Amino acid sequence: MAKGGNNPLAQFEIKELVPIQIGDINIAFTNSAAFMLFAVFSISAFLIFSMRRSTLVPGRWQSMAELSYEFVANLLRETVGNEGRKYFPFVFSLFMFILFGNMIGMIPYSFTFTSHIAVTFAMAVAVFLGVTFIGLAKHGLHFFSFFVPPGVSVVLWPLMIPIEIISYLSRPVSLGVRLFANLTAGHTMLKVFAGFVVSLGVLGGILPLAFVVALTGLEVLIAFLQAYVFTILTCFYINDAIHLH
Amino acid sequence: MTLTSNGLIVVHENKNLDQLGLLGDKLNKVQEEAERKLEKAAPEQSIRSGLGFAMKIGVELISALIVGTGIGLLLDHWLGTTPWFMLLFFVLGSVAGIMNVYRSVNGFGNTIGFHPITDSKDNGYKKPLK
Repeated sequence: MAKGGNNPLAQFEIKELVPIQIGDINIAFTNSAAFMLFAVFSISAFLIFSMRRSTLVPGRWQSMAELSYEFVANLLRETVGNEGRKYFPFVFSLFMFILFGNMIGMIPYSFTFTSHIAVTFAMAVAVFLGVTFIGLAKHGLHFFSFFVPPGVSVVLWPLMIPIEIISYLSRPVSLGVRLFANLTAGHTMLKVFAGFVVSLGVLGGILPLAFVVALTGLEVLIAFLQAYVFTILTCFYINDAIHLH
Repeated sequence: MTLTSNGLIVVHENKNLDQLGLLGDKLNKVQEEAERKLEKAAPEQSIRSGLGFAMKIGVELISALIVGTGIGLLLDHWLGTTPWFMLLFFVLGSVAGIMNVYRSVNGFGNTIGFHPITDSKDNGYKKPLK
């Protein structure tokens, strides 16, 4: 249990480390921002140091760096195809940022910035706006044919077009909420079961302790999976915007 | 076997052909083994993408509902027609949510509109992810 005592939600509390106030806007440097910076630094360190002495036959660290690169590259190639190449830097950064955020969150006493909807929703909206702009730039006004389902008679258009628009607008919501909800639920559950270990004592605490161990494994899986899902959906959206079907 | 140099060359060629055949057999064997290994690995991969799929689908339903109802509430707020737009868009939102799920399950991908995926490169679920 962190400083929050028995409250399983205390781990998500935002603390101001360096208060900064500009006019009416509070842009304090918080623990969330600190962990984001930490994630960025650790990603850079991981990639730079593991590729510094790159050899033809890769060592352990170089293998890991190449594996993560290839994983995202293949994902993008399989979903978008060759036109997706120029979006690789963005998709790769996104994947690594979310993955490291989730994984750093698995370290006890750390802070999981991806468990805040402000963070995940901001990323989702950035993806959504970017993809919409790509679609508009590539196809112009033809982009709006996206909302007219083919093979549907004109009589049904007034019904179908609002549904399609809602469906399109729900993308950033589902993208952001999914990551936030999974991480928050998982971490809260971990804390609740860890609380049982303490309150049930030495004998009774064995069962919840075993549960916490199993849950930790599951959470690591979810941490990876959520980064993967966010990335592959981004790839799908980019594909939609480029190809329009 | 003939003693002429030409004959010897012919024999050599036959030998080479035999070796080539052997090599071909070997290659086929290795290839089959690799394919078998890939098939063995496939269930694990389908579990991974299946889990990803399951994570995806629940939120899909809810988010369209939230967006639909939100649009309805906003329109009501602007036009002062409480609660009619909210009711209308609640229904539209739930329809959109169900359509989202339907599309994902049927392998239409996450596209807007009823576009079946014609080219296989489009689909992350059918193909094993390498």
